[in-house]
Amino acid sequence: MKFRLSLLAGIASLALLAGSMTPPAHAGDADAGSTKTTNGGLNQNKAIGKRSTAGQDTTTVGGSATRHSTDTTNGGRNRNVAIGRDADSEQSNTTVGGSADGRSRTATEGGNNSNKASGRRSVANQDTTTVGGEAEGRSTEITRGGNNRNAATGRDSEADQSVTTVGGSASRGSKSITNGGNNSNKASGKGSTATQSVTTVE
Amino acid sequence: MKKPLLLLLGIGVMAWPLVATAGERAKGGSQQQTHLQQTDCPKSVTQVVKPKNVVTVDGETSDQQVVENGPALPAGCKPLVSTRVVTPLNLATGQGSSANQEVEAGSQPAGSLVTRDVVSGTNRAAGAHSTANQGITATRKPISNLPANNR
Repeated sequence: MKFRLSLLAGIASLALLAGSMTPPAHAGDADAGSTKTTNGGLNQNKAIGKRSTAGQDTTTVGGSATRHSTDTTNGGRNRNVAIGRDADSEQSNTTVGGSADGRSRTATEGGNNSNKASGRRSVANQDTTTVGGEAEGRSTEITRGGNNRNAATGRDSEADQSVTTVGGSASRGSKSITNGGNNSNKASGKGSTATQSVTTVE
Repeated sequence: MKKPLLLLLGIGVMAWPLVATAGERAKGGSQQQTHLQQTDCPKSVTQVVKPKNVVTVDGETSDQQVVENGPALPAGCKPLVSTRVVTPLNLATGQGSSANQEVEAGSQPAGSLVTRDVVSGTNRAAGAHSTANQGITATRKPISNLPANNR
């Protein structure tokens, strides 16, 4: 009877792991002479604790680069872990890279986010959205909305983090840099609640 | 052969005051323009918003609201570099304490060659049964509903 129960628990945990969604990153077109990088992979999603749940949803869309331009979109390397018993951790990351034209450069990095529910019956929710702008002419546009940390380490704690960064467009000779990331949210006390909402619009 | 050389030398000596006057005028105009830029329209603008809201006492509640617009510049002024740094801290360490923080930063100068916007918030609920809520908004548009102490 005990063996059957453990088997059922194993099947349930496998089903929970299978429920995590990680759509493939979309790489845009790169014309001759341009440099383009789109990294949306290396995402980790783990439900280690007994009856824990971990859900992850990641979308990375690379932009297009033409002529001498450079377009870099990194939306990956996100980690989502539910360690605590009966813990729940949900993570959603969206990174949309912009397009570069002429001698311009656009870089959009919305990845490297961490979400952790390590306390017993803890809940950790993380939502990160980074939308890179467009660059034309000789301009430069950089949007960084990643490197955010969200953790619910206390027993019965809850940590909710929502970070939205929308990069602007740079045209002609202008240069625009937007850093909306590197935010930290943590609920470490017993039964504590930490809610963080960061919105940066350029 | 010597006559054309002497003629050119004579023309040069006669034209020297005119050239010197033109150069002085150009220099004076440039100085005046630089002076105007330094006083009214700076080349670089930096705005730092760094509020702290820390609750260490048990059962205590602290609400903080910070609304800041960028520096007021004259019409048509476009600084070369515009930087804004928003790094708020919200911390609830007391047992059953509550820390609420709301930060709004707006009105960044438009038309700058380089525009930097750094937003990085820290929110912690470290005490038992504590609550920490943090809301950060950074936009380019000016925020009209400024509180009375920030107008």
